[in-house]
Amino acid sequence: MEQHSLHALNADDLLLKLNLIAIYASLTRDLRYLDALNYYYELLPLTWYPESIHNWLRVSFVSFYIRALAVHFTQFS
Amino acid sequence: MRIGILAHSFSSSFAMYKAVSEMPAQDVFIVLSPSPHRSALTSYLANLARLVLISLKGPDLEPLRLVVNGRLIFLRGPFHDPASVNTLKKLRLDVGLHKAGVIYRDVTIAAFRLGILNHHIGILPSYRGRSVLEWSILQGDPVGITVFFIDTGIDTGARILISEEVDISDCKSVTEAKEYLFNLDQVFFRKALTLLTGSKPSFQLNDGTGPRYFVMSKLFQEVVDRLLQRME
Repeated sequence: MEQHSLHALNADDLLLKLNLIAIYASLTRDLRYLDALNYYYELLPLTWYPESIHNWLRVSFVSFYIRALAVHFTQFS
Repeated sequence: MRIGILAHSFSSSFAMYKAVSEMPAQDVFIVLSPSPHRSALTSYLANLARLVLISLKGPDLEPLRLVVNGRLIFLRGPFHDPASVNTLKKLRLDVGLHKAGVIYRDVTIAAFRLGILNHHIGILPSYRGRSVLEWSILQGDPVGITVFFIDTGIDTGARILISEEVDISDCKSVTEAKEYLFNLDQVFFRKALTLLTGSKPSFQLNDGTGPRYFVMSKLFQEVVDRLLQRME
């Protein structure tokens, strides 16, 4: 994502990786995983509609990301 | 002791040169390699312009003396280029001071009798990589500076010369704190060189076990800024 344009990337591959990071981020106390999600979420343009075969990966990514944020927010507070 | 300041830009290396050359019994050289984002010719011309500007601004004859005395060396390629390594070897340098934005290869490091020193704005081995100041604040750990001999990894060089906590409570933002810590490089390099010229310099071990950190997201950076404001 940092080196190539978003169009050059395989959207399903990218979304699958983000999903896996998001799942792990909610299981670990290591904040680097949550921040990786923040970082890539900030990097994605709001108007990004990937040509994905598995569009549900986008929905599941957002859900897992929110869950990870909630888990760490609970730990902080 | 023969010291080489490794940099891309004359301006930053000249400030370091001034600070280090004031020390007794130090023989200091500036070695400039072309910036990775520019051609060798453009880099050379840009540095030449900086040199002239600094000379005129002072007015200061020291930059011109550096050229005349052969203490300012322009490399035609990156530090690992065989011609660059040969030039470094001919200079018979004891220590290199890292002021360039590159990761060095073994051949370059081996051209220095003791190695190349890095001024890292985090406490090693706990905080390796990028945004370490921010991560230290976020996790409630001490903020500080480590001066160590680098290897080809990311902050994994085994020999730590100085590891010291630094008070940043007067800084109002992360940007300010970072600038403050980076600007301490002259002070810490001088300390390190003093230790090295002593009879028996001792080293702490950087076992490389600390996690590597990456560039922090804007969201977490905002959190860190707020934490820093609370520390005031």
